[in-house]
Amino acid sequence: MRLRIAVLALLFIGVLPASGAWADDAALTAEIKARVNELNQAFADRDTAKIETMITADQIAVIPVYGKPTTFAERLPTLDQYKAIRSAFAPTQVKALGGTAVLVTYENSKQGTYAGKPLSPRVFVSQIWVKQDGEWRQRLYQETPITGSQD
Amino acid sequence: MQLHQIIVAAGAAILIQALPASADDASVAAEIKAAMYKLNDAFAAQDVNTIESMVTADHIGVSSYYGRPFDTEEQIDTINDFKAEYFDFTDPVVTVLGPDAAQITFENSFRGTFEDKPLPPRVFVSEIWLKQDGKWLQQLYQETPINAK
Repeated sequence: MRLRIAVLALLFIGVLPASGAWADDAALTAEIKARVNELNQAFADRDTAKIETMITADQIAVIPVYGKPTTFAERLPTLDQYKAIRSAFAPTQVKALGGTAVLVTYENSKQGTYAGKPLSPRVFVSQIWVKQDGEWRQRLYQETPITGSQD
Repeated sequence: MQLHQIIVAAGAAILIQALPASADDASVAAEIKAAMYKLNDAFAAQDVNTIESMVTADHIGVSSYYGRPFDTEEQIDTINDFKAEYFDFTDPVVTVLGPDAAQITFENSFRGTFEDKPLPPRVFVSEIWLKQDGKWLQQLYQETPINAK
């Protein structure tokens, strides 16, 4: 009897998703979207202490107006020079990449400047978030200028 | 089987699930790089069958000169409109994101045109690769123009 229970238990464990902690994709999507919004708000508030808790130590951002991939430490001194009004976010897509990483993609229109230079008016954004010590942290933020949508 | 044996067996099963599929990240990185080079060669040779066999069904690409995200069918339809000479690739950096997912990033300079419009002189590239049915397939290819060196 005990052997049968053990076999059933192992079979049950075997069919759990790799993410394990997630009951379903909807729960993961909701949590990641909340983290994305929280980090966006931290940037809007220039809350550097909070930003630093929400990104990995090796986080990089690739934003056309900066001209090169940058670390947060590199962007920090000029954070006040980034002035943007975001609008018309396209629906955010969240794709699980195994249990401890997700890909977030969306399109965004915005108006603004960085160091007096205009920002790309519409961009495709991808973000990689990874789970470290139980917290989702952004590891990569990448923008590509676009002029239209896929559909 | 005693209760403690059941717990040990269950713990071992969980541990096995948590381990990466390959022996170590270095071997996964080697596999991903080989797949990336093979896909690049397929594009250079305009080998549509190989391209289609090396990307996921939901693959998307994003580049500034395309102007919008595109799927594989759209990319193949315009494959003759992309004319480029590549040079100065940086060494690709592979980050293993899980047993069946990895990201590769690098920078690249190229000269060329897409639909007769000039390509950006230098780009940062990120790619997401997923292991499906035992084979690494590209799911996302994204370029961002950066300053020329």
